[in-house]
Amino acid sequence: MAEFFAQWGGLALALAGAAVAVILGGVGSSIGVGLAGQAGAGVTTEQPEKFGKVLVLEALPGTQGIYGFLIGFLILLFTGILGGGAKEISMAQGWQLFFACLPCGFACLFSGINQGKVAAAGMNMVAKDAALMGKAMVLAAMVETYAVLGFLISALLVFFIKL
Amino acid sequence: MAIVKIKKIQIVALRPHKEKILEILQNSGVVSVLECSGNESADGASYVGINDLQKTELLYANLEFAINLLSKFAKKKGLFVSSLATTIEAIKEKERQIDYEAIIDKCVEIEDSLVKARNAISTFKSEFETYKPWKSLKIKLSDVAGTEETDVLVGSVKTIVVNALIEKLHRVSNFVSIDIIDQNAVDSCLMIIFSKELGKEIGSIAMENKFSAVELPDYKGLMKEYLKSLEDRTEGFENDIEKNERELLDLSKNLDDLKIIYDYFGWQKEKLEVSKKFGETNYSFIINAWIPEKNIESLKEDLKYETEEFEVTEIKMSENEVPPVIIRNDNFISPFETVTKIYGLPKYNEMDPTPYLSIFFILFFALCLTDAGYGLLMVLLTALALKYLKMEDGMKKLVKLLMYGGMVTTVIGALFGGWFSLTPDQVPEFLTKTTESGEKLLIFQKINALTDPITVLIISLALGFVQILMGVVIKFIHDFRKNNKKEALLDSGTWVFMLSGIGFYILAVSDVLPQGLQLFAKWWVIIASLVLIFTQGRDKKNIFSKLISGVLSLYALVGYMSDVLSYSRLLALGLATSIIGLAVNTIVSLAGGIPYIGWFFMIVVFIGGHIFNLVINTLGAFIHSGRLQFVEFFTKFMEGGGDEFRPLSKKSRYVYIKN
Repeated sequence: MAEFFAQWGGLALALAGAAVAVILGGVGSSIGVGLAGQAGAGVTTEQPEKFGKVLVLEALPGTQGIYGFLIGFLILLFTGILGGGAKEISMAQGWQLFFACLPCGFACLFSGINQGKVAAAGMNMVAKDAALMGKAMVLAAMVETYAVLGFLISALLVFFIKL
Repeated sequence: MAIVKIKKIQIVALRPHKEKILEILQNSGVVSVLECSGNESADGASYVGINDLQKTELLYANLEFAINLLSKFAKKKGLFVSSLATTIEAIKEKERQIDYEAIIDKCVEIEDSLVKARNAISTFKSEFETYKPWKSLKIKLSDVAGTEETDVLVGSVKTIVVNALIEKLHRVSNFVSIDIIDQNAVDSCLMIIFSKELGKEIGSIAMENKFSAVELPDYKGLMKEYLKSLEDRTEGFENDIEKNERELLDLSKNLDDLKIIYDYFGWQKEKLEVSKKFGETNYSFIINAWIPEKNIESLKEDLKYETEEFEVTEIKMSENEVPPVIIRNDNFISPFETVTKIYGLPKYNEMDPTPYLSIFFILFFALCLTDAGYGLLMVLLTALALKYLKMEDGMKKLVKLLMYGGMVTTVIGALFGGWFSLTPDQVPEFLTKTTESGEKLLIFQKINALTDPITVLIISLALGFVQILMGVVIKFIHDFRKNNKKEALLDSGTWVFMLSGIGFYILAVSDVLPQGLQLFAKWWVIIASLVLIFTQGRDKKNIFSKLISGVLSLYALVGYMSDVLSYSRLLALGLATSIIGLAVNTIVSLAGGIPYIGWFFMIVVFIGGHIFNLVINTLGAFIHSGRLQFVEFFTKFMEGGGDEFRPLSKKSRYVYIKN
C-alpha cells in the first residue's frame, strides 16, 4: 500500500489539482454565463436586433472556465500525461502541484459567478441604451481581474515547480 | 488633437427665412441649439409649430410601424445590410412621388385584419377542441332540450366514476336514459334524459360526481355539421391571412423607399423640435447655440446664401454654464476615440486623453494576444471589412482600431515567437534559429514567454509604471498651465519627483544603471519623501496635523503600487492566448492519429480552435487593455463626464448620403 502511494500518489495529487482547477473554473463560468444568459434572453425577446451585443456580454463570464481549463491543461502537459509517458512524481511534488491549482480554481469559481451577476445587470443597461455596451463590459471586466490574478499565480507555480 | 474650443452664439434673422435657415443649420451639422431664455411667443405663432411637430411625430411613428411590419416579409439581403446610398435631391423627390400615407394606411388595415383573423382562428380552434368529443351526438343541437315531461343534462364526468354514476342514476329510476357520447381514458361525455320530477335528485347525484355541464352551441343542425362549419370558417380566415401576407410581400417592395422617407421625416422632426427652442419676436426669431469656434465663419458664409438679413453674435456664457465637449484628433489617432468614448468624454476644461492612451492601448492589446499569426489574420479581415462593407462612422473607427491592433500584434507576436502557438519543432527548419544557449527558437523570436514568464512580467509592470508616471505628468502639466502654478508644483509636481525617483532607484538597484548611482537614487527618494511630508499637509492649521497628513500622504504609494501590479494581467492574458493555442495544437496532433480521416479532423480542429481563441482573446484583450486605461491611467489626470456635443444634423438610420 505504502509502496503504491509512493509510486502513484504524487501523480494522483497532481491530477486532482488539475481536476479542481477545471471543475471550479467550469462551475463558476457555467453559473455566471447562465445568469447573464437568462437576462440576455429577456433583452433579446424584446429587442432581437441587440443579439450581437447580448452575446458578447454573455460571453464575458466564460473566461473563468477557460482559465481553469488552461491550468488543467498545463498540469497534463507537464506531468507528461498528454505525451503518453507520465513522469514519476513524488508526493511532495504532487502536493505542490495540487496547491498550485487552488488559486485559479477558487478565484475563478467566485469571480465567474459574480461576473455573471454584473453581466446580467449590464444586460439592463444594453436594453435601455445600446450605447452603454462599452461601459457594461468594463464593469464586468472589473470582476474578472481577480480570476486573472488567480490564474497568473497558478500558472507561474505550475511553470516553476521542478519536476 | 484635443478638446475643441466651443463658443456660444446668437443668431437673429427674419421670420420668413426660418425654414431655410433651419435647413442650412441642419446641413452644416455644427450647431447645438439651446433653449432661448424668456421664450414667449409674440402672437402664438409657435403653437402652430407644435401642432406640426405632433403630426410629424405621428407620421414618423407610423412609418416605423410600417417598416417593422414589412421587414418581416421582405426578402433578406445577406448578412450585412448596407445603408441605402442616395442624394438629398433624390430623397426629396421620393418624398414627393411616393404615396407613403397610402402605404401606411394599407399596412394598418392589413395588420388589423391579420390580428382579427388570428384571434378568430384561435377562438374557433379552442371551440373545436371543446366540442370535438360531442361529434357523434346523433340529434340536432336545437333538439337537445327538455320537453314538457323531461329534462336533459349534457356534460362530462371522469371516466372512472361513470359506471358508479350510471348505477346510482338507475337506482333513482329506470326512466332515466343515459347515452355515452364519447369516452376516453380520462373523460366521458354523457347525455342524461330524465323525467322532470326527478330533477332534484338527479342534479344532486350529478353534482356529487363532479358532473360538469356543457353549454352546447346555439346551432340548428347536428354537432358534426357545426364542427364542419367551424373548420370552414377557420379555413376562410387562414385564406385571409395568406392573402394579406401576399399583399404585405407585395408592399414590401416599397420598403427601401419607406426607409428613405422615414429618415427624411426624422430630419423634419428634429428641425421642428429644435425650432421650439427658438426665441420669437413679431418679425424675427432668435437662436442661441453652441458652435465650435472655427466653424463660426463658415456658418456665416452658408447663411449668406439664403439672406443678408441676419446677425450672428458671440455671447458670453453665464458663470455656471459648461459647454459641451467634442474631441477631435487627426485621422491616424481618431480610431482611438472609440476607447475614450467607452469611458465617456472628458470635461470641457480637461485634457483629451486620446493621443496619450493610443500608444499604450495598442501595445497592451498586442501583449494580451502576442501571436503574429492572429495579428496577420486580424489585419487581413479588417482590411477586407473596410474595403467591402459600408459601415457607419463609429463602426469604421472600431474596425480601424482592430486593424492597428492586428499590426502591432504581428510585431509583438513575432518578438515573442507566437505563430498560432506552434513550437519550433512543428515548423520547417528554415523558420527557426538556435540561440547561443542552445535553445531552439522561432525566427524573429527574442523572448520565450512560456519558459521565461518573469521577463514578460517585468516588462508588463515596467510599462504600467511608465503609463502611471505619464498620467501624473500629464496632470502636472495641465494644472501648471491652466490652474494655480504653485499648487500644481506642490501637488502633482512633488509626486512626479517622487515616482521618477522610485523608478530611478529600481533601475539603479537592479543594475540597469551603473552601480555608482545607487546612493544618488537613494537620496533622491529620501528627499522626495521629505518634500511630500512637508508639502502635503500644508492646508492644515497647526504644525502637528500638517506633519501627520504629510506622512499619511505617503500612503498613496500603496495605491500607485497596486495600480502597477494590475498590469500583471498583460502577462496572464498573453499566457492564456498561447496556452489555449497550445491546447488546440495538441488536440490537432491527437486528431492526426485517427486512421484515414485524421487529416480532415486536424484541419477542422485547427481552424475552429484558433478562430475561437482569436475571438475570445481579442475580446478579452480589448476590454482589459481598455480597463487599464480607464481605471489605472485616466484616474491620474481626469474625471470625465463631459456632455457630448450633439449638433442639429441629418442623422439617419438607413440612408447614407452621397455628396
